[in-house]
Amino acid sequence: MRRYTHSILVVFIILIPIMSKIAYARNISEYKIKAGFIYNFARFTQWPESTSHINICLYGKDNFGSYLDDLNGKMINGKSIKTKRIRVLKSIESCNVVFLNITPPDKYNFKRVLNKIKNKNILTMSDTKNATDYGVMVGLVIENGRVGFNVNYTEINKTELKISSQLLKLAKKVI
Amino acid sequence: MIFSSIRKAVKGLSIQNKFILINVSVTMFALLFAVVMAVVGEYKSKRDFILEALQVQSEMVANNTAAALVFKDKNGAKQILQSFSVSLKVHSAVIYNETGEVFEKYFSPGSSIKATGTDVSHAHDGRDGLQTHLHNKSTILNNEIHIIQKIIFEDKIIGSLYLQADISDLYDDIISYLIYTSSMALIGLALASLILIKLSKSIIRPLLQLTRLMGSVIEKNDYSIRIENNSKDEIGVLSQGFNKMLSYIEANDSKLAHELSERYKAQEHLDKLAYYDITTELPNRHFFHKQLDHAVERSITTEQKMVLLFLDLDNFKNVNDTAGHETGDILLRQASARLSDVLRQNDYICRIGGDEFAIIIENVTDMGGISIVAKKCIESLSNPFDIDGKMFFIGVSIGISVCPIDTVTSNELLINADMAMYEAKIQGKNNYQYFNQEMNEVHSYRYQLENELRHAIDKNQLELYYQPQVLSETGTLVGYEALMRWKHPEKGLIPTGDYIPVAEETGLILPLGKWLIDTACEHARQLLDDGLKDVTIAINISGIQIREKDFINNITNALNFSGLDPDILEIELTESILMNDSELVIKKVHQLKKLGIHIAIDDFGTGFSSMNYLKSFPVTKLKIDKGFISGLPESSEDEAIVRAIIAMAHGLNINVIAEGVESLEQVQILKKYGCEMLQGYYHAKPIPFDELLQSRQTEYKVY
Repeated sequence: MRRYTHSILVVFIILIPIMSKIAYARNISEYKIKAGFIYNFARFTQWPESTSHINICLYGKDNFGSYLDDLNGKMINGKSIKTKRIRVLKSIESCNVVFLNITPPDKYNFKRVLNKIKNKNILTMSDTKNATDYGVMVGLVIENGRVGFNVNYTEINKTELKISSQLLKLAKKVI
Repeated sequence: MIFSSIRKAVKGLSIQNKFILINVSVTMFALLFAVVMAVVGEYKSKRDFILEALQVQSEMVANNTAAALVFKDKNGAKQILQSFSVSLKVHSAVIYNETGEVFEKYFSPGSSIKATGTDVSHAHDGRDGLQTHLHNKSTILNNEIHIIQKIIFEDKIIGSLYLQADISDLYDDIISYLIYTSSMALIGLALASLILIKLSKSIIRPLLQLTRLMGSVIEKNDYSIRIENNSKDEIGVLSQGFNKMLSYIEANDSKLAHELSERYKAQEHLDKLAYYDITTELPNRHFFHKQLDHAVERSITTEQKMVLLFLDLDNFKNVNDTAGHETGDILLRQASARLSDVLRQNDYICRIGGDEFAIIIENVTDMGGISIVAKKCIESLSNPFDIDGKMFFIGVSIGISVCPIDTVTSNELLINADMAMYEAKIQGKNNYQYFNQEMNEVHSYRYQLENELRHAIDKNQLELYYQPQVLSETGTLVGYEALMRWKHPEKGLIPTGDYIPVAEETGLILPLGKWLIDTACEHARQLLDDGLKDVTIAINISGIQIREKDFINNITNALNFSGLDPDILEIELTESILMNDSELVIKKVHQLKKLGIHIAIDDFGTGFSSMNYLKSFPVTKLKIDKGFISGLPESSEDEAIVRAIIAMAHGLNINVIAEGVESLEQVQILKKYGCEMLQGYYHAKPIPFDELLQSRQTEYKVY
């Protein structure tokens, strides 16, 4: 018993960081995945020709961290990605993709922001609950431990942006 | 083995069947080919169609799964893959991500799970493999189509879709298609064959017709048949060709037939020439020998007598020599005709030599009949022959031999008949003789004689004896008759009767005669030198001799040689010489007379006398034959004849001399009737010259 206790302890000691890493990893990977989603979405979006860069902006609390910055420099159809964190609404106009992390996350607040960028060819994304209901074009959701998304096609239609139908198929909900 | 028997069977078919067989076989092969090609084509096209469809499907699905791959949305991918469920053939579709791991898969219900195991290895060769296989790949393996479709997003391969489809139904489809097309082909073949059989008839018919017609040409040997076919095709050309050929053969045939008949005629003619004598149109010697052999055979077999008559014309040679060969030929022709007339239908006559004929008479029962035939022949030929207004006389010597009496071989038969004929000649000609065995001996005797006679002159066996001729009134010698004697060293004196005929038959008479003339003239010379005066020397000349070309020359030469005057010579000729074709003889006699030589007629009264010639002949004296003289004084007939002859001769101013005077009484009678000269034993026997020279007289008793 004594001998075994030794090995068990060792195992646990080794396991803990691993497990925490896993836990952490899980927490961390969510936004890695979401960042990936943003990137991918941008890829599956047909941007107007005049676009020279794909500016991916983040408005609101930054949960992405470096994951977002990792997108910097990546190419989408020959256009390179620039990531920005925006504080001022006005700056949104220069974005091609904006990830909204609005607080408090209610309809009124979202409306206020979205009105600002109405009719502009900006892809709005958010992982706030019911984001698409509030008028966000792409809402990231987590279901069964997996990241999925909803699409507000109506809103997208108001712009010149085109989303690949493949994406729409993948969407959990399209409104 | 099989092939050879098949080949044999095929070869035995008629053209029509061959034609149909070939056509059907070819059609069958063509249809088979078409069916195979169609089926293969159908298979290929169906397969390619399926392949293309599947490729399209894969491409479409692949393109649609890009987002799912990117977003790692397996569900999404799965959903998309589900669309393959409508594609009955696809039994598995697997999406791989860029690292070659299975992203999502689809299996059609009921497909085998085993596919998964091979998936990885088939689709990828590891990560590198993925990169290198930038091209989509479709493979068809047995019943399956495998398609690898790259999933491309933003010009990069982000994964691949590996599709497996089962095309085993394709095979079933193809088999049904095969059955369908095969049945159609068979029906087509059947229809085509029926039509072919019908149509082939129209093509083959002319050929069959041609064959049939040629068959009948050959069968009936009738080359006048023609084929009616005016079509321009090859059979038409062939038919025309055949027609031309048949015409050619027909023409050739008739030409040949014509030539053949000409040849037969020529052959016949040749045969005739070979077997027939042109002049007389009687069968010739060749035919004769054949016929004789057959007749002998028949005689022996049927045990009937058969007779051979051998005819030799007398004096024919004279006619030829004096009147020419043309006349001779005409005479021969007439003689043959006369002989033929004498004979019966079945008697066989042919000309076997210059003036020789042979008659074969079969089935002889009565020999008397044969004698009658022989007599008839002689009679008919003894009548004069009138040729171009001139009269010619011939006779015939006949020899008869009988089979099987004399012999049973044709050769001997001939020899015997010949000997018998010879005997007839010897017997004075113009008669017939039956062969008898003695003739053999006589013949050999004569033969021997002939041989010895040839050398008699050289061997000095010949002598001249002389018999005096005296005037009946005074008994004065007026002449000598020179008589030839042959003194054989062993046989002694050979009778004149024996050898003279032989000499005449063999022509030896000519040298003998010449010897006679020469010797007589020599003797005459000697006598003159010895003091003989007013005397003639008489020599006997044969008909053969006088006809000799050189006769006159011989006489003149002999006279000249001995330095004699021609009038010392007297030529004695027998009546018969003067009888026959007198022209030549008359001419020569006149020539003799012109030379001054005296002419005397010997043995007067013994021949068939036609006294015409006495008128025209320059005759010096007539010699009454001893036969008449010997009858004196007993026979009053002979006396009457003698008297008549003397009277007639005196009437013509011709002197008469009696031969064979043996008694005084005869002398007296002759003197009574005025016979001028006498010759005979009464005065002297003929004596050899030497004796004469030594003891000659000039006066003889005539009382």
